[in-house]
Amino acid sequence: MAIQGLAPAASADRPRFARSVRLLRCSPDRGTVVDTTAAARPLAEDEPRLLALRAGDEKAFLELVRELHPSMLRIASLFVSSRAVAEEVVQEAWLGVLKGLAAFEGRSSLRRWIFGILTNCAKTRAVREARSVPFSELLPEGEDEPAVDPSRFLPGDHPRWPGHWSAPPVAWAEEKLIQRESLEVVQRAIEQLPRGQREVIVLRDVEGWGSDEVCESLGLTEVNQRVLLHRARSKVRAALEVHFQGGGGR
Amino acid sequence: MTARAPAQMTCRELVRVVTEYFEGTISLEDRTRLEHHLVFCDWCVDYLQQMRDTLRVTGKLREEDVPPEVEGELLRAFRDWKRGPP
Repeated sequence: MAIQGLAPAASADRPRFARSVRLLRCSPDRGTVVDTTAAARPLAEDEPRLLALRAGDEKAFLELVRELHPSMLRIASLFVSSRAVAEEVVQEAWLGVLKGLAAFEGRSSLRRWIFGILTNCAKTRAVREARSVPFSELLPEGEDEPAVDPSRFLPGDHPRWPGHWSAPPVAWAEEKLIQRESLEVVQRAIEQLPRGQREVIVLRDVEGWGSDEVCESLGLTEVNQRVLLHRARSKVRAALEVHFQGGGGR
Repeated sequence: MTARAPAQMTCRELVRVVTEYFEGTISLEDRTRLEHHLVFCDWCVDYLQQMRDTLRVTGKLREEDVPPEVEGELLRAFRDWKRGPP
């Protein structure tokens, strides 16, 4: 299902493949990622597909593209300045994948290997765009951003219900949740998050990566990753709440 | 000797530790306090459900199609690759 506003607008000036020296910068070797989940993900699983790809099976290739391309585009967008540049990066990555396919040894899963190449291409491009973000900017900032507006709770010295809801949440109706507008609200809320929070929530909750994968790929500690995720999720929930009920409690 | 009775969790504290709870990194004591709190606080049950709903909707963003022209370009690259270097 395509979501309006998410799918890239078809444009005549979509970057074409350019077989260029840029490929050297994201050679498959540098993209190799040690797969910590190798035990849980038997590489035998990739084997039929790998054989098909190497044999030049176009159907197998298109299947792989449909499965991974949207995720690759979303992840590349985390690193570079625009959707157009992200599209170029993903195309570079696919060329890097084709280039390395014959030599791929299956030490990591095919998916991890491809995302490793993609991340290298994206980081290389980010450096060239001078958009490489200092590490500290990814870290959680500020003291303790409240997950919910503190005014929605009774004061801590309330005689009967200290710290309890004064403006409690109202359960959301399923039929509203499944509407397209809900997806758009979430998409917009994620776009407005500070960068570190956006990267973590996209990888964890959109892409479904595990926390260890995300920590490794973004260079975060487990605690910082969780703090960023908590802030991001809390803000997305708050955006849905405003959408459904205009922000107030009961 | 009397065991220290842990203070009851407040709603305000619950919204702060909800991600630790979902991630399974919460301490056993806090987990117990949180689950005890849920027994009598329907509002926090609703809050937790809203967080789960949020995760569910966020996960749906993953479903996206590849535009046909992108597929076409990638397929051309695949055919070039198949033909091998000139």
